Amino acid sequence: MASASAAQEDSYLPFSQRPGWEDLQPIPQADAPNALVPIAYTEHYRDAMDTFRALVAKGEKSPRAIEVTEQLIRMNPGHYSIWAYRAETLLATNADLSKELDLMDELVKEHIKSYQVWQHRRTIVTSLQSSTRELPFTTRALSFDSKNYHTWAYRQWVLCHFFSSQTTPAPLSERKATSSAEEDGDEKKRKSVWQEELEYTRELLEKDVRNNSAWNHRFFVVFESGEGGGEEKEVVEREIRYTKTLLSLAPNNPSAWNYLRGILSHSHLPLSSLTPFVTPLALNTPASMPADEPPVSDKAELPAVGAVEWLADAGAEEAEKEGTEGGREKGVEAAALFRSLIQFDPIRTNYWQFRADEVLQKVGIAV
Amino acid sequence: MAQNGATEKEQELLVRQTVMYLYRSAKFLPSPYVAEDSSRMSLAYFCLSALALLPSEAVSSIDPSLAGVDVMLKPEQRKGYVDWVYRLQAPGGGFMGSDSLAGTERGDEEERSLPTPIPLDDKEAADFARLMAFPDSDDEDPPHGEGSALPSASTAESTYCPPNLIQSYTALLILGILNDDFTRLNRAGLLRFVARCQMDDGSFAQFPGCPEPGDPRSTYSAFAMSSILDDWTAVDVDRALHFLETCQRPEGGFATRPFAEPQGGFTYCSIACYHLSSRLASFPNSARHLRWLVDRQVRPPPRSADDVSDEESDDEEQSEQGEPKDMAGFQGRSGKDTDACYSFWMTAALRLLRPDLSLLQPELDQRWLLECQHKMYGGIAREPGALPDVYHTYLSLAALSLSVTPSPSSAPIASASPSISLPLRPLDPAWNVSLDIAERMRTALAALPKLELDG
Repeated sequence: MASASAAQEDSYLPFSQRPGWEDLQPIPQADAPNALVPIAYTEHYRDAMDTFRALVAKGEKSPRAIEVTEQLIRMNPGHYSIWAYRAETLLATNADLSKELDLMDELVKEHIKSYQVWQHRRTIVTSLQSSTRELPFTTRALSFDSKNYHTWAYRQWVLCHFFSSQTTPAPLSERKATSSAEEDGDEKKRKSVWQEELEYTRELLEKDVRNNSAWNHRFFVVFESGEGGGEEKEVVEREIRYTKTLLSLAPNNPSAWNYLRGILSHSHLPLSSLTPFVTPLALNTPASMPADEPPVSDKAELPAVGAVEWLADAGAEEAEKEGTEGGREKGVEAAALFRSLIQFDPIRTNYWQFRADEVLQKVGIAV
Repeated sequence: MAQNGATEKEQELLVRQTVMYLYRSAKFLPSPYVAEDSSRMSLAYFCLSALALLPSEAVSSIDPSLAGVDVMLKPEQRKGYVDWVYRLQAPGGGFMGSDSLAGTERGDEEERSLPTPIPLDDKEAADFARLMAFPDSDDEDPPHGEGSALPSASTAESTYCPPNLIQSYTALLILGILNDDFTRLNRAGLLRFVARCQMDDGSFAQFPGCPEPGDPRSTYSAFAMSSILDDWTAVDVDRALHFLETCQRPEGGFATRPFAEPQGGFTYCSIACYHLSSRLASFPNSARHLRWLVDRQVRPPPRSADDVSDEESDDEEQSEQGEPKDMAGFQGRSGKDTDACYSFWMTAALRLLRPDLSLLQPELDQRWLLECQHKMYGGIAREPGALPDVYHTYLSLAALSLSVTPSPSSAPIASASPSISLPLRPLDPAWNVSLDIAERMRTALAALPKLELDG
């Protein structure tokens, strides 16, 4: 057979010739004669798939299935069926699931962008009903790739699934039941997890103040999780102060400006409530920063686009409120600010012009 | 490596190389694509939809009005491809992404060795009935060791190669591109399949019982198929849009799930859903999303020393002497580098919200995308110097098509650079296929007998 000579060539021993596998008749892929996009499978992949098909056809859930699916997911981490069969086999054979997590710890390094690697981990962790490894694990993964989308989504799932008291993205019936005796301890643990989560975003932003994933996560922790006290006045003030401090050090940071906008929108505050802080950054007058605001760093590059846009938007907000009667002056001012952005941010020339025209139209000035 | 050359001349779309690259890919993909083995339908769609945007002139003198796909595929090849797509139609409706699990459904040795089209025999019908009766699982599997809701070995086979929403959507478009008459399409089954994918929270799982939670991609696939079939009975639009609303983020844009970071692909899918269901009038936070989309056009990062020639040093790229080529692509998220695929996700999303792309700078994006071409092999990569792949090639061509095609309701785009010639067919930004194919599909599907709705 061709497979025998191929095996000699690269010393690959097909599964069917290995001890303990002889009884399995491999099933080749039944591709149509005119298949689209046939893939040049490697000998290893083809053989493992042929063997896998034989196991699936038999419905065999065995240590052999665990072995061959591991080979396969190392070559192709994106195949839903292989993961599904592996998960079922692990559960059916009462396999040691913590060993499976060890394997996932290893595989995620190479396959961090595969949806299925993360879903499988979720399946295993849910079955184990244990979250102890998960936050440290994602922290490690994020230390390699601090903006990885899947890792962040997974971390948020862990937090919601195991540590949330209010938001219930997972159906209640699937969440861990706690007896009343446990509750006090659990409650403490839960609160400290969210506290640590806030601290974690602070650490990440200290390393990279433009990490948008970390800013997004901070918003989730403080304002959306139901665990960050986001409705309370002092929390809102604390977050505004924190963001202002980071902006006064590095004002050209769209993520921080967006975070600040998010807070105000969440708290139904107008943009103009931060005008005293924003104005010196927008007009390049750092010395005029009020004494009760964080001082502007010497290294800050001014004027900051985010600050000018803020002032323009604040003006547009007010002009719109006052309408065609009282808003004309503010509208003209806002339009001038929008147009001034063209020289600092030429890629968005047409957008800034559009925003200028829009605000003028709203106050009844023809453009 | 062969660099230079292209940077000195005015850029051009390498039509001939790109047509050949896509044709080669449709016939055969190299081994790195193993990681996409279960999504071959989508890979095929990228190849064929791209060939439907490209003109035939560069490869054939038959008739310049034909698209690349019209002249490259021989009639028997076309027919064979259509048969392949229908082989992947699940017995109860919907399409699988590949036949990598074909042959495992039946225990029978003889049948296994015969790669014939899937018959709708009693056994298949029974399998299907079981699949349909199988309760939708939620996000997670039941606890270890307890009575598992997973199918037992005897009923499991059909659940290992389930049809899938995204693959079904791309299958429909492939059939349209190949000029199929859709008489073999199980429309009622497809709609039933779509309906069964919708979850309580309004999202769509990729197939009933899929452990992965649904995201805007599967919602988009369900909506696009409803639009293509002109039949919205399978989806609860209000609940579906409610799910998308929960995926909006405070900075603008949409995320994979509530609370996650907004990203270009999910944002396109979400906006397209509002467009496809004619609900743009109630699109929430429109100004915020518009700002987010426009903010994503950025300059590419300076290329590393490995990627540029000796004469063309890093300093030169950034500094006053030897002005670098003025270009700007799109990032998928705030603070990330440009990636060619986001040129499509962002410009198409914007195009669905507004009549044209006049808020962007399409010519800066054109220069960036042309720079991502592989000068020798053809094809377009995620960034200059990287290896091309069919995904980035298609989405880049789709973005380029949008950038030169005025929408019916607006004047031609004034800012498009007249020095760059882009002979691409116009694209339907919501179905994501060339406009002429979309039109032909509408006609073919409308010619089918009306669906009889059974109880």
